[in-house]
Amino acid sequence: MTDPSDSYIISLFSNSETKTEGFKLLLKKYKEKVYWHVRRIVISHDDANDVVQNTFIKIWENLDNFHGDSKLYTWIYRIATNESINFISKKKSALFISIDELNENFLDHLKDDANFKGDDIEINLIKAINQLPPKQRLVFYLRYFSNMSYKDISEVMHTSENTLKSSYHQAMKKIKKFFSSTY
Amino acid sequence: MKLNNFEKDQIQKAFDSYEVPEDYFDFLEKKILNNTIHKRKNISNKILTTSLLSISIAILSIIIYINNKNTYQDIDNFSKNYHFSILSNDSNLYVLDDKNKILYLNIDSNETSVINVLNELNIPENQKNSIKLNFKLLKNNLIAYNKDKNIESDKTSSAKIKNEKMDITTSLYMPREICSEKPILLSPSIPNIEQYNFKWSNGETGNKIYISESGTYSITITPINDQTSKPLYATTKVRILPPPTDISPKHLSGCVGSEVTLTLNIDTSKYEVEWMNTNKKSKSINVSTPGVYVAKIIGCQTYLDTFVVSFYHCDVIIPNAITPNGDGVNDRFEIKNIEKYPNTQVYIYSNDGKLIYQSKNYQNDWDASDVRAGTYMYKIIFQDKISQNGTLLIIK
Repeated sequence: MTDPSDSYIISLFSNSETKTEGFKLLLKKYKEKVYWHVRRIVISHDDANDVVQNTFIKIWENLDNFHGDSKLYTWIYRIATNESINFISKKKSALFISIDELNENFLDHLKDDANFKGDDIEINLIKAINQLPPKQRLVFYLRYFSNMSYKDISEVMHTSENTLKSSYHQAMKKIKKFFSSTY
Repeated sequence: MKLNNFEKDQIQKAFDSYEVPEDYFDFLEKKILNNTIHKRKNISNKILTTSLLSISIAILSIIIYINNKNTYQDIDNFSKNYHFSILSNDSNLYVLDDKNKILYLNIDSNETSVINVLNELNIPENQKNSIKLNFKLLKNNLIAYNKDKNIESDKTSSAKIKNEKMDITTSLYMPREICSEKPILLSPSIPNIEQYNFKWSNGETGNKIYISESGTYSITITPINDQTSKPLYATTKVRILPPPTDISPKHLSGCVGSEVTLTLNIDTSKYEVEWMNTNKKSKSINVSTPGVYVAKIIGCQTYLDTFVVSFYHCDVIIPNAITPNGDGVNDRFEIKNIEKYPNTQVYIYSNDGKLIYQSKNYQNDWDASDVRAGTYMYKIIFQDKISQNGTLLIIK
């Protein structure tokens, strides 16, 4: 079964009787995409689980505020991205360590993580990508994994397309540098 | 700048290392739906749940701690006009009518004695059946509850027993009404209290709330580990009514022919009032005859407020001193306006209580010629039985 179109889902929101049906379709269509997007940012499954639930609760609570002037999926990604970043900064302030240290921390635990099957090669690559500045990392994730256009990413991140292009370029450069130094 | 195929493979492999538990996305979907769409439905279900309370099985009960005494649980609401109550002090079962009159039933009562009591109550047949049914359920649940309490006090209780407890936790009851003279602590008594989330209507989330103000309080209880189960909901009306502060006997007086107003120093919107022997229910009454007036003040308990009312002939003026020296001024015990009241009795007593003068029809003629100077007491009784006492100083 193919996923229903966003415009069909949006049309259901306008009526209070079909609103729940619309949300169910939205959840079915986006739960995995949102989960993986969040997981890449927060890394551990347990944290991603929390953030994704909060994301969809927020989406449900704010459905009435969604007027279709932005695309449904960039709206969803924006909420998910914001929730993830908020989560990380909360965690960071709770632990009183820098975000880099925090990444180190997450990544050190990756090996023992029951929901991570990679070995040192995979961990080192993820570590390298996580050392990218947050903005470059987000652009990379959205563009590379979610196949988003710069226009859509600029809606998600509230950043101009040119800045995003340059961030993506920087990210690629660093990743390529990592590969050339490793292999 | 583009990644080559090797680099792409490596990245793919790295991010493919992230895994999720089996069936995670189904779980995620259910969990989100429970916290969004179904959460909203649950709110509207509350009303339904409340109405279902009267026919479902009572297990959770509420313990109210009132001044550490009279701790009781109350399981009620089983029919329109009657409810059962269990006092933990004696584990007896009571049936109360709508006026809270207690019609006693022992916990060991068999069905026949229940029916006998119900017949005495003169209640409709259909209600009788519901009471019989509820008595059975309640009795079983009380036994289960007591068993449960014993299990809980046993520190070695196993997880298996805990599961049994969960099974009987099907509904939540609170007393319909509570009246207390002091702030109370309202707390549900449930086995494994730590396994539930509490949400009170005032926003508090603890397992007990301190109530110092009258109002309607409700509680929603959800098991922490089972978000899908229906929340339990109960509501209770709490009145916090301190005893009336001013109920010492009061003495009031007035003039004959006028009225004296007796006013209770309470808020009649909170207390029920009844003036004895008059059936009046107002905050104040007017009286015109002497006597003792008593008002019943009904809060959580009944208090009596007493008024002693006396009446005087206000136009009668009695001197408090006389100077019998023959100068024509204050020579006699002259009561002004006594001529209006024929057959007035006057008695004069000495300090040691000895009667030294009396008259059945006083004519303002006593001059104290046969007594020494000093303080004396008088008693004047009018024909209409109104009497007045006082002291009289005789100066010579």
